[in-house]
Amino acid sequence: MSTIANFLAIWWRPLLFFAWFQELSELLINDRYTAFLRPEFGYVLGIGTFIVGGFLLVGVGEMRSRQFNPRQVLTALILLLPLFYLHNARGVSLDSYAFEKRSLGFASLTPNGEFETNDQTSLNPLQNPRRNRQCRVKAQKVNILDLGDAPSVYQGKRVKLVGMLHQSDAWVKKEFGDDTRVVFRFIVTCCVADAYPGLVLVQGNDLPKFSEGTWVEVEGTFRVLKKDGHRAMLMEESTIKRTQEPGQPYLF
Amino acid sequence: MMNTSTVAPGTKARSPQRQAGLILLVLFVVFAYGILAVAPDSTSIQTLSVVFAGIMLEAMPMMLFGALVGGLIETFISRERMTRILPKKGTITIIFAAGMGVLFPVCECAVVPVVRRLLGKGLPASAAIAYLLGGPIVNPIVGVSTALAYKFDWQVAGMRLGLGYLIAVTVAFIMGRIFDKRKLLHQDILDNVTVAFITGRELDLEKKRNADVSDEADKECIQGNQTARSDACDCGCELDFTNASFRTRVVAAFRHAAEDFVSVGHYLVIGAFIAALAQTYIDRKVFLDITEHPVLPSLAMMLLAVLLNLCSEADAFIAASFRGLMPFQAQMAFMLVGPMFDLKLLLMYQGVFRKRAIVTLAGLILVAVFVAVLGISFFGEQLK
Repeated sequence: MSTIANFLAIWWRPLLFFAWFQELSELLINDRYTAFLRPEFGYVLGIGTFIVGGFLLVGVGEMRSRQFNPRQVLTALILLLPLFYLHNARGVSLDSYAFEKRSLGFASLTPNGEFETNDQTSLNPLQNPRRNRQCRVKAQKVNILDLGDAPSVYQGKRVKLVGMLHQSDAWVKKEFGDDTRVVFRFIVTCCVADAYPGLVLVQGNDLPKFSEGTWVEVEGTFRVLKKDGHRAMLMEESTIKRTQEPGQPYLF
Repeated sequence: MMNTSTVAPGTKARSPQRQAGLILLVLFVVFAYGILAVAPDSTSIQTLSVVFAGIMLEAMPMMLFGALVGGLIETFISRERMTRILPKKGTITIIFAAGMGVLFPVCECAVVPVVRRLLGKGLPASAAIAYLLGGPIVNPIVGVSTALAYKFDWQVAGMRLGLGYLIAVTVAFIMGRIFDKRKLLHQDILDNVTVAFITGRELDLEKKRNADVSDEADKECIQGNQTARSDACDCGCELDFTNASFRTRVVAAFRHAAEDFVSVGHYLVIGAFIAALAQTYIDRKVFLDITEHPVLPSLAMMLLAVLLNLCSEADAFIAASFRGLMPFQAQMAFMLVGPMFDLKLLLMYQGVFRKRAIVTLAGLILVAVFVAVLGISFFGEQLK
């Protein structure tokens, strides 16, 4: 028992720093950190990895017999905890579950960019005569951030985007009808903790039903509408098809 | 007086409080590892894993950087030089320290280890609080990110930085009035402050007499000085680096930084984990149900800031996402509270302050922010 205690007393710091150094290096080398952070944070993480490497070298350089304290085991276990959760988060990204928790209803639909319209047209496509005059032109590939940042640029145009499907939101059904779907992407400022959903409403005839959280490609005519004093982004006359999860699920 | 024959230097008595703390740590470890072991593939645990890992990967390099800066301060800036740099009047030091983030922008994770070392170098405790609270808000990066989040509305950014500065100065000033150094600072920091007088170049008896340190701590460190020469961090004693080479100082800086990382890092992990739990299981729409009330939205957003533990450089984007749903003053409350007081900071402060001081500090911050928010409501039309 005392041998184990002696071993831990001498080695726990170098082992702890080695575990962190190894994990951070691997995240950086394989660009896996972008599953949690925006790409520019690679530099910051690089500095962190360098510092942990320094700790490791200093720790190895001054290994000597210390008095064993059981509290050190607790400290080590706590400092190692994020590594276990990092391991569990491999290949996982925020999905419909996180969307449910983070969506703020109308606020998540509101574009950031300036846009003024007095268009109070009903959301029912059958009551909207413009849809029948809409030319079938080649859709422009965009993402939800593009639409939110410059809504007036895309107003009335055919656009195509990739996002995750959400179709069980009671709020959306109540406000916009049962056939309205939501397609969203998480927008990350620094890390996934501050990720917030950007979303568009999708309407169309006979939209196929996919399971919750399916990655889809949507093509439709973009429009910003006003409802109850709020603005919302909408894609009309849409078609939806299943697609592969993009290499980077988040928008930055 | 401490009986050194029965209690070895550096050994702390097992008080009931300390034992309770130990039990809580054990419970935390069992819970955190337990839920991961029981249901690693459940949606919520996977979301928790992503969010927890994200918070840690964002905060950890900042904290490591802060720890290294603290270590460099320890080995490159002598106590005498620090004394020369600081203004002679305490009030001016507070005013200066609260705005130091403009020159040395740091986030809240990096600032704690830096402040630990600055305190050891003789920075007055109230000035340290001013930097601790002001640094993460009153800095150019936060100013720009806030303006960006609010569509380049520099009024919002200016208001955030201005109010943050005022709150930092006010709270620091009041804390300095309420607590003396001995009641404010953690014992490890006090030991460090004490020993600086003994192993530093200048043994100023006049200053020592005036210092708020205990005789027991002095004696303990004098007795442990032999050890201190070979291991500065374990007993909190400072090495004399005046004639040391650059390489020696850098190695010692890394050693100090590693010590700080271990001392404060586990608080960061616990805080980040609790924040990740809150982010995973709390529905943000809940906070929208009280928007009609004149005061509740601000209180709710303050609570949300405490729970979410967002970085001060990113939180403005979350606050801005509540535009049209929460009143402006509630969004401002969110942006003011987060960088000064959230769950991980609450835990990290335990590496700097005593518990009673932390409770008072938290109370003062919340009250000051609330008063500021009421001010915005009152003068709202003129300001916006």
